Amino acid sequence: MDNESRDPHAQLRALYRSLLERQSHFDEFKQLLALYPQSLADEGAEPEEASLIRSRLNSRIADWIGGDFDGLNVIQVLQWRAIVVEERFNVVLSPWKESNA
Amino acid sequence: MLLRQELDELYAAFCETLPQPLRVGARELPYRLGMAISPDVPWSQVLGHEVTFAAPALFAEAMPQIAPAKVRDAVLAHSLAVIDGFGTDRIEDRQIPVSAEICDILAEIRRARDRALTRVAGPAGNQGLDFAQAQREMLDAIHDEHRIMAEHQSVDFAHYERLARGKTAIGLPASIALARSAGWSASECGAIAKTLSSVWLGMQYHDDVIDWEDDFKRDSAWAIVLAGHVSSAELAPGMTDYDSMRKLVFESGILARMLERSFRHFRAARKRAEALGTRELAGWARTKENYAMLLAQEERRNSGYAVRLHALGPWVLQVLS
Repeated sequence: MDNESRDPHAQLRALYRSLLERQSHFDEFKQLLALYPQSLADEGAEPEEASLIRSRLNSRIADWIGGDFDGLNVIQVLQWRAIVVEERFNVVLSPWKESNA
Repeated sequence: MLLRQELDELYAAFCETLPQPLRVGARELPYRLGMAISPDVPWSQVLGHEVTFAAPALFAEAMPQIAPAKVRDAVLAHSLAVIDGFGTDRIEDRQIPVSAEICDILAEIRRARDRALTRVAGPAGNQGLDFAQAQREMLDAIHDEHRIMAEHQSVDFAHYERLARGKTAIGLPASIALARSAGWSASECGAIAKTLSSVWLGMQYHDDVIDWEDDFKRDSAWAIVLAGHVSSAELAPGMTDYDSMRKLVFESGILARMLERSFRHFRAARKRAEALGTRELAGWARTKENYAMLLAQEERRNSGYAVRLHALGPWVLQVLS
């Protein structure tokens, strides 16, 4: 096991590359995130069903990046969900459209 | 940063000239048009690029003798024209409910825009150069676009670009009027028009790529319209579901082709901006040119890359940067 595979930041970069380069990964990632609750009640305690979804997601990510993956925690999954599923951080400016890229 | 500040100051000053009942609505216009998440967001935070709201100021870099007041008036005329363009498009596209208040504010914006243009060009100096003609071109283009989308037509790139030029025609008069006022020749003024047209087209292609899925939900995705023209695939009648459309878009390679055109337009804009001596605009266009080329290459390798990159962008900013 090399150092990079244990580096959480490197793992996240590998996940990012995987999502960028494979539409099927992105689609499955988004589908699994959509199954996860939008927020957690009860002071952040993760329901069993949500935990199973997160485990499934982490297992799939490990497959995609071809190595060890420490796994996304609850906060990270909620953050990803907000961005990818709810698109909460993307403000779309259409008409006389202009990109913010 | 200074141009953004100037935009907000100019717009705030314009609001103060309005009849009292319209002032609050005018101040909150970005929000009222559905372009901002709260009423206190100013235009400077809504409009992403300086060229969009302050094109004349960027050309003024190559007009050292021009009076600052003229430049301010040209920026005012241009920014109000663009704001009116956003509002008109949103209304025509039924993205916001039409209200008498919004219509009154936009009418005031158009009057202030025309007054500012006259101050730049002089009463006799704006012959053949007015916003009314550009406004008509914009409305014609918007209506043509609606017809194409409603009838699920396929059109070629030439048609797309003709419409895009029409939709953004209001982005030209203020910069040209400023150049005339500075004594630029007809060919130099023509170069300004071509530069800006290339900028608008480069941006339009890029936006129509990264937003194509959202546009599809509103039944107005140009990627599908263009893909239908370049693709030899036969779609069964009535096959308009998302999966079929995505297959068409990906297999046609239309997104990469649109990005390649975006690249070529930004390159053309950069070259003209360099020739005109507008270094800031040229530098900005070069950045966009390089980015569009990179996106086109990646899109060619991995269909949907540009959309995914855009979707993941906020996460990168928060986590990886």
